[in-house]
Amino acid sequence: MIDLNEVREKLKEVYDPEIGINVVDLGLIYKIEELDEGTLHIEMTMTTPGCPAHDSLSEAVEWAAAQVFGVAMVHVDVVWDPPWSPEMMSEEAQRLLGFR
Amino acid sequence: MQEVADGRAVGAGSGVNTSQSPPIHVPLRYMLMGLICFGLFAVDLALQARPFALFDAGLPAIVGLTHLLTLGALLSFVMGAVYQLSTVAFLMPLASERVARWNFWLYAVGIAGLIPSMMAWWRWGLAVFGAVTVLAVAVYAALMVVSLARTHVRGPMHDFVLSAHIHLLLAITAAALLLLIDGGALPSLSAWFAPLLATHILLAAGGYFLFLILGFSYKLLPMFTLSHGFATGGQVWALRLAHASLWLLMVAAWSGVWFLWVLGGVAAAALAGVQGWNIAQIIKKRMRKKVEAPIQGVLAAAVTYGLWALLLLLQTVWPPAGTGWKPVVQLELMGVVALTVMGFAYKIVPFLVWTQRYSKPRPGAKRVLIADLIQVERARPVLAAFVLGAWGMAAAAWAQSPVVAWFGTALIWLALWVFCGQMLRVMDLRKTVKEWTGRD
Repeated sequence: MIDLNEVREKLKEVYDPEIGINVVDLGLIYKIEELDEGTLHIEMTMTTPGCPAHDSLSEAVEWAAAQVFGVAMVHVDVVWDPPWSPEMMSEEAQRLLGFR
Repeated sequence: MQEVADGRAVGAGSGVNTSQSPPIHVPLRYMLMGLICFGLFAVDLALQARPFALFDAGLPAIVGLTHLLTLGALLSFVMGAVYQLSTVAFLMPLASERVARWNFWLYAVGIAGLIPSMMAWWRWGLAVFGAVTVLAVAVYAALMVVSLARTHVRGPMHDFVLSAHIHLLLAITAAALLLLIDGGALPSLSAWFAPLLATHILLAAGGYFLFLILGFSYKLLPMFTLSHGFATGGQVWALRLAHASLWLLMVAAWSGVWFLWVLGGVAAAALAGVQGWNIAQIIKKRMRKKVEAPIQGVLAAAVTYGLWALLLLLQTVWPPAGTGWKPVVQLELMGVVALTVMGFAYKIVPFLVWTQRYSKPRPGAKRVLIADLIQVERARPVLAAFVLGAWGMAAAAWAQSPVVAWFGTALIWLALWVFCGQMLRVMDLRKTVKEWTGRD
């Protein structure tokens, strides 16, 4: 059984290199679920389609999730629906970007 | 976009691989060469300050210096950026990454021989290295045209970028004809030297550089300001006006019909207005409330573009007697093209270096972000000095004032040296050379 909260915390170590905010607080992580025993499925998005950091961010998410105890396999799916919007950010992230 | 999401391989260890970009050392080598040429341009500019600022375009030293900027610094840097950005913006691979890699050496040899040949007006050098450079630029432009023809992502940005590369092919054809006429190989065309030269300048400076800047601004500005949901209706009008302006001015150069010059100037001014509206829509919808210094530099270049269009219109209505088109050409090259390239360089170069060196997760390693590579706010004084210098040089060309010319040159010189120093520090030459070694 994977501790999904631990996964979420681990993903907070993955930062958007340009913005300097982690992917969880940026609201890029849409879904974290354990499909089968030890198999993790993560649905995430990017701040903009065709984001140049696309590959490095998704790979970093996959790597970080794989560090959590009990994770044997990680599937990362990058989706565009729903499109990312600033309301998805945490309050702290919105404040850092001057959105609040 | 769905197509992208559907096309992914997912699973442990596979990563989410949609990468179509060439290896980072491919764009970086062109950018490094561009930076070196920016530095050399700054050195030679200090030596040629007066004739360059007053744009004594006929002097071989000034022809060489101008091409050191346009071919050596700007085109080289832009080629690297285009190889990287196009694959991201149009979700396509390059038609041949190997050609992009090897063409660099052809281009570097061509530029290394052509610029000194221009400065000395050495005809054999012009013929040999001119041919090599024309071939290298043609290979680059053809590679991009083929790559862009294959993408499914269409729209004004695509059409701007595709048109730019077709214009580049035409511009170098005009350049080759100019060299042949000058060398006496085509005496029957010698009467057309002046309109051919105007065509070459219009196609290269306007048709290539400006089209690229206009097109990629629809991708880069939203990306760096996190802008979403902005109106895009004006983009297609910008494309139409850009084509109208370019072709009207070229037909005017060949026909000498005053009215066509005016129409071309009106189209350029209307384009500046529409593009200003397009940029305003992007900036209005940005999520990063604080606009960073490099993007402010790009916006200053956009304002300069508006001033440039007004100056162009003014000169078409009241053709200048003494100064000719010098201030117009000066302002476009320095205040619009070079300033935009420098502004975006502060964002693109650190990102490429970060992707190459720090994007792979390493257990226990310190987290490195782009902000650790460069404090982008340090771009502010550099870009401010450059834009003031560019305006100063255009004013000097207009007023034929050596004092203003020295003032503008000094600012440009200073700005370029600091810019090159900052960029080379981000790149870290020792690491760059090491990463490069064994890749070709």
